[in-house]
Amino acid sequence: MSAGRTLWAGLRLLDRQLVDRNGRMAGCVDDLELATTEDGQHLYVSAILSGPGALAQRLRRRRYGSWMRGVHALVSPGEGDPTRIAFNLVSDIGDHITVAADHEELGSASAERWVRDHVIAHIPGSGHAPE
Amino acid sequence: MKKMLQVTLCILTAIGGFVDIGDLVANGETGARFKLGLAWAVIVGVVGIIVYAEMAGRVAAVSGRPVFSLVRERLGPGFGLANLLASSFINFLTLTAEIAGVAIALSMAASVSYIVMVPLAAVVIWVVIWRLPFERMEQLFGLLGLALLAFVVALVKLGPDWGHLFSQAAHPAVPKEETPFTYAYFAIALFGAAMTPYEVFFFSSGAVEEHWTVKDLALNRANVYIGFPLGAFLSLSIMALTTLVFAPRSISVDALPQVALPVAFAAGKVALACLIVGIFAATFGAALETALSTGYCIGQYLGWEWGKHVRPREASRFYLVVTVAVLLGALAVMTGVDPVKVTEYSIVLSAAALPLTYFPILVVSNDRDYMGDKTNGPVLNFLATVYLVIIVLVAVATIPLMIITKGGA
Amino acid sequence: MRLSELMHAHVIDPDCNDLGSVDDVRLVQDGPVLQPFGAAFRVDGLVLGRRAIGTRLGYYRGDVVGPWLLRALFRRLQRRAKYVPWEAVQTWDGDVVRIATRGNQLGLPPEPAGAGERP
Repeated sequence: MSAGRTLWAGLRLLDRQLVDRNGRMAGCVDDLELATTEDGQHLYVSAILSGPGALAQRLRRRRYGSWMRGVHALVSPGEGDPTRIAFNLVSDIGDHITVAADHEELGSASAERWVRDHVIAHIPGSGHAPE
Repeated sequence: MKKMLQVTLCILTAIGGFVDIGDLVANGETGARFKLGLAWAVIVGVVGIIVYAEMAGRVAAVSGRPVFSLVRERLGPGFGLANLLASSFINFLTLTAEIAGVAIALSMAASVSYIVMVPLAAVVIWVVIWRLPFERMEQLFGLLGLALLAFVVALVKLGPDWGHLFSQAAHPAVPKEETPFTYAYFAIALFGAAMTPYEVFFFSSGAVEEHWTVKDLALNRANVYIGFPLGAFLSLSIMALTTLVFAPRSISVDALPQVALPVAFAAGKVALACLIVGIFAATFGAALETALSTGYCIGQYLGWEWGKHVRPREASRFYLVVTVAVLLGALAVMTGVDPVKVTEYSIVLSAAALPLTYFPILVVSNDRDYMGDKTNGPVLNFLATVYLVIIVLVAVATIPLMIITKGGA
Repeated sequence: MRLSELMHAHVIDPDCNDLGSVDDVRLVQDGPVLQPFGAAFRVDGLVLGRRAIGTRLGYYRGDVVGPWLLRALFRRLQRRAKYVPWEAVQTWDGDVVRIATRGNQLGLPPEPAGAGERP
């Protein structure tokens, strides 16, 4: 997993499911961030973008994407760019992409948390185990 | 016995494709208007869903990926979104109709207007989704749905000329009172009903809910080879019943309680009571199927944690979507809209959703990266490709036929 | 900069021909080291082609082996695809990528090695 792989971004990375270190679903790869190398000659993939607004940006609905980021900033202030997952954290690329982090640390968790705390937690039985 | 119970996932899935409220009425109406001249459409449909559900189940078992994840991954977010919108509407419209169906079944037992029963129906549906474990839910409603075998009992009791029925089915013809266009429209409607996308959404997501692995591929096959043919068998029985009882009297079918009449007529009160239980279970099961599918589609497209196999707290957005869907569905029913008409409108959306759903399944079940050595064999591929062509032709023909025939009038 | 912006961009050659939009991007894992992942994925080149639905499916660049009809169909479509190595790219500005090589001098995308590409 350290070097030498070749792959096609659209086929192998984009729109793949992200899974956290515990096997929990953590969103999809909505877009990829590109950065320039030090010599300025090449581009490389520096981060995965996933979460509020990133998909809207990809579908070229920029205003909707900005609006979503605005809503997110209101709801969870001080979290910085919620959609960015540094590529350093990727631990496996297969039919899904595994990230060496807890899903709670990722940007898309804030929407889930909000719904959990404001809606679901108030309904009796929400902590009940399924079996 | 435990082994037999394991096929209930597919029985519950098949309920949505063959005996939910839309299908019960459509099969009844088809038998009354076309006799058994459209039986072949059900047979073509059931083979198609068996082929594709087996692939979807196999992909879910081997890779843990349910259908809608594959839709977004292979078609991209643009086409994936188009499918999501179409499928979400189908899921929601059908859910609305099924909630009405449950209320109607309850009202058939209690002799009150079904609108009064809607809040009760919606609450019970929601509580089952919220609290009942997936496997229990599937077993309970899959087995209760078998009470629909009362249709078969009634059919046998009528003592029909089986040879005549078979030859009618084997020699399809357009009846004098109908046009080739209405014939084609009903054929497409029956085929589309048998292959409705939420069946594979539910079946593959159910496979993930049940934690199927590579070791469960035989179970996957047992499910599809038993569940769907059973559904088709019930479908055809209803068609045959109305062929015998309604067609000679030129009675047409447009509401759910009418479908129960031939059973009361042929087999008496006990069979009718059994049938009402079956209709309740089938519409309830289809309501569960479509409500959960609403959550599955949206959750899987957006990469959320989803499903009944985790605590509601851990899949909050998924449960919010499902809860809102049931709530809005119940409200929609209480506006008094005709539930059967609602299912007819959802047929239009199937035109978009069918190809965009089944194409990714075919591609991924051939992907060595996903499936290892469990990719499709050449015979299955040939059959699946033929069906994909049929699906595309059906998708293209649906809207024009709907316009020409004014919705099959 | 985002990959989606690159993939929506049109490629213009020195004769000002619009060669179409970027269909996919080839990444090679020999960029700067990102701990603990390893070497980053460097953009190696761009595939141009019609934005056909089949390109993401994996028939040409992935491991999809069937059904026969679809595989033959998509392989045929791929023959018209062109590949722009990153060295040939002069500028990328918003929606436009300017390259130094003429359209008719571009070659086909590199043959994928399939599952063997992974170490």
